[in-house]
Amino acid sequence: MKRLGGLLVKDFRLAFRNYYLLMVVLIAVLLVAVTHLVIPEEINAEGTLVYLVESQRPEFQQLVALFSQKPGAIKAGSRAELIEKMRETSNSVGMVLKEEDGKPTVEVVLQGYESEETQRALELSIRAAANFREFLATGVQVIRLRQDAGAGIPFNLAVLPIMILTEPMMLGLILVAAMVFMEREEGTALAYLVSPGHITEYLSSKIIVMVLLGLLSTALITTLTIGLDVNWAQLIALVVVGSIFGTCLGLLIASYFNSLSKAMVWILVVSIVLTLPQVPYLVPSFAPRYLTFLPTYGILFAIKEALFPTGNSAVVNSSLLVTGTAGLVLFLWCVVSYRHNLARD
Amino acid sequence: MIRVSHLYHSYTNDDNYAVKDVSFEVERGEIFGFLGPSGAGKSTTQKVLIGLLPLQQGEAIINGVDIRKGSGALLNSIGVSFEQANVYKKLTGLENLEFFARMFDVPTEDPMKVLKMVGLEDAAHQRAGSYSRGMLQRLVFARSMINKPKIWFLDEPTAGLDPGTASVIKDIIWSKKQEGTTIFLTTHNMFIADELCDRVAFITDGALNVIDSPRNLKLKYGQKFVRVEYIENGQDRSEMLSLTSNEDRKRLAELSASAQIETMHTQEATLEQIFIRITGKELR
Repeated sequence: MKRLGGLLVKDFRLAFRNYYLLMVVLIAVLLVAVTHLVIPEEINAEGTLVYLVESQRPEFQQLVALFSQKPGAIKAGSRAELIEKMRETSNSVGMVLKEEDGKPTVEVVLQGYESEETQRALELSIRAAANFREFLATGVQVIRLRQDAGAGIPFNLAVLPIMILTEPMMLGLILVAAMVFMEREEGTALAYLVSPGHITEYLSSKIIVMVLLGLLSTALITTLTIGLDVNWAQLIALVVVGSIFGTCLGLLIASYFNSLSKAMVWILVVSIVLTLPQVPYLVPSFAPRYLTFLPTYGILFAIKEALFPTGNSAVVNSSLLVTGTAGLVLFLWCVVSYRHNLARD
Repeated sequence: MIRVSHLYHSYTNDDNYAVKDVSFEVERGEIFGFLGPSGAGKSTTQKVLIGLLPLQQGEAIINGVDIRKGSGALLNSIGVSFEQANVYKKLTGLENLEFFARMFDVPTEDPMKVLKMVGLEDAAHQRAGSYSRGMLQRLVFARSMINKPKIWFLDEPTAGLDPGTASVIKDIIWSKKQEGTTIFLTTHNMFIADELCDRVAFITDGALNVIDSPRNLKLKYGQKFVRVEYIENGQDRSEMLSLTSNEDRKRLAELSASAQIETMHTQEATLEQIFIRITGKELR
């Protein structure tokens, strides 16, 4: 314990003097600012409707009534105004209710990027709204298969698990590699190897420093966005296990290279692969099996459960088990690798 | 204290040996100089002995411990002063020593006391990154003493030091020898070796050429010389003449009779000259 204590004091001093602490705090504050100021609370996937009524034919009464009740719909006074309003809102759709050849006609104005499927859907909607009063009058029932799928969580907070995964947890991947290469370049790793210090202590100290930096970052991001009302026990456990996993991965990559520049390609590739599960996290309908095997896939949903508890602790427990096991395997691999490679010039 | 038998090491794990069939013994309290040019195998031998390279062939016993079974006990008993200034540049001199002191299981020196010994007490609280090359070298040297080593491996301990500081370092080495520390000194500086070592080993191309005391080597291989400085045709000239060569002795007689001699000193052959004579190689 005396040796581990000495290593921790040394590694904390080096982390502080290399501005790791400052970097972690600044990035956390930046992420909080992005959450509050840049990412919207809601993303309106439906788009804004801009409509123009050029004809007062009775067939249009149903549609006009529907449009006027639609939240956010804009009624234009002229074609020029319709175009202008559409240019102001890139996800808007325009409709002109007019008469052509003596028949009621709906002219749909699109931005240009809409797919064929979107055009067909719009056409169907308009026909349904115009022709089937019964259909419109029918109530629509919604049944959610997954109650924990994030309904009710503002979008800017729903992306917090991604931030916690990429910052506090994956932080160790790059920072710890930089730390190891600094020691190898200075030759201090050789000085350590001719002391009675063990490789396990050398690695453990670095992992502990990265875990504590990760926890600090998590605490800042969470309290300044959601507040204190989260499942802290689950969140801390996930960040600890996730940081160990990320740091061990960084240590392992660093053990096979002589310099940070040579290792950087692998560090970046691994980082990108590990953050890929944020795609199925944001778009749950796209969850290919190869992405769900990555430990970070489970961690994302587990962090979400810890931040917005629904009582589904199974998702947290399974993620802790998978990531913890992966972290342990990586740690043992690191011990073997550093025994062989740390003395290498 | 150190017994090495038929040590071989190949970086490529084949017959291309960096060190081949090296055998020697160092007694307790002895300063043993391991001398040779760059790439001769000095560092490889030392790296094997301190555990930075695996022992592939042969046997090495240090302080009664087989280095193959090297353990904490062995590492607690040795100190290593590297030629490279391998200290934490973001830590102060004192923090560097405090850190390494905590790595050992044996009683250690007071870091401040060791810094004072090498003249770094005033810079103890400065970050090592701001130290000059000589200061860094002294810090590395101080660190190697922190665990009061029984066996002390020194790699070019006076490289980059001014004569005054080098003298302080030599005095510390000498006093540690008096206390019974066994010292394995790796260098290509023959003056330091001549001054400090009880015995020296010459190594070239990975193999040992000779092991003996500097005095015995001089008696066996050295020649007495006379260095004569004189004025001829208004110009200062000097010549080195062997006292064992008839031709040179004749030339000395001529100069004594005809030239305006300014100074005349007898000189022993230096260790470097003996090294070149034995190995046929320059110490570069």
